[in-house]
Amino acid sequence: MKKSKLRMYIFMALCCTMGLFIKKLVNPFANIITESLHIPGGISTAFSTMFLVVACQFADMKWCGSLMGLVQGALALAMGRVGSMGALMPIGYFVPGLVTDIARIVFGKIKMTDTERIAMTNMLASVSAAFTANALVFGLWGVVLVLYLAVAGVSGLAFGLLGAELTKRLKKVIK
Amino acid sequence: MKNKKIIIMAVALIAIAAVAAVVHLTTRDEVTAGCVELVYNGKSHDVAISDMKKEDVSGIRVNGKGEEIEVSGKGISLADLLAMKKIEDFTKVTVVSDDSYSAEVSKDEVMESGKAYMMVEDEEARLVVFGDTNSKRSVSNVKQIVVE
Repeated sequence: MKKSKLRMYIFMALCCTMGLFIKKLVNPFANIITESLHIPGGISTAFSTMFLVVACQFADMKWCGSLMGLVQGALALAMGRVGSMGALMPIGYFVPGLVTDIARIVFGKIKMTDTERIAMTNMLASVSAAFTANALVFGLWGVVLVLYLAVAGVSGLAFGLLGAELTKRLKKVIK
Repeated sequence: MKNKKIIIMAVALIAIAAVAAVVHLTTRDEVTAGCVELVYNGKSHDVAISDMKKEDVSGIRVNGKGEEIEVSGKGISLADLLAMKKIEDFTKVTVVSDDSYSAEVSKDEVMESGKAYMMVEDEEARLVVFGDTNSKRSVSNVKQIVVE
């Protein structure tokens, strides 16, 4: 295996782990907002998907997001971090990964800056994660669902901008 | 303009979120602190948690990690809670938390002895359905019980 490829796999594995665990750091701050809006979440997952999107920016690989989503799902199952989704948790990780891949393909054909591409991809990944969680667990509908998805979208966009900045800085180190 | 698409998208999303937040926060029923809103036949009334005839409850529930957690404390069975309000004719009960998360309990489960309880701690109610294999119906900070 080429050294550069191995380095990339290690980076992807690191991003998988960061995506799984680091959202706990954002949770206390996110909860202040979601509790005041009376919705069950939607912010910290956007921070988690940011690592997925950043990794996909560097990995020269098709379906990188889906693969990382599957790995995250398997890790979550193995470590018992399944939350209220239970055995369906891998779906909750796989869907944003798949959406990330599809968004990257679609946005790759549209003229836009890297920052726009990363932010929009993360927004879609975040909204898809929220939508999946709602379908599997929360069962929200009507205006609460709209609010929940919109909050996920806004935070996806915000963390996407952070991801774009992170990508810029990492480019100097990784490539 | 640099990153014009992001600005347009952000403005659109924030506008949607703001409108939805205003509608959601102004139309949701505000429940008095220390109470649970009971909705039946289109009518709603607050039930004070302190007024519930609680008993000692113990059993095993499954948490989000799939681990078995021993539960013991004061609580009231859903059947007793509905009987307290003289509600007999229903098919299901939907329990809703402060963050709009909800779980359904069928009439059979409500009537099953030792199955569905409202556990009470620090003037806060939590739905516990004993025997479930996951935590989907573990609803904390219960604010509303809709009986249909």
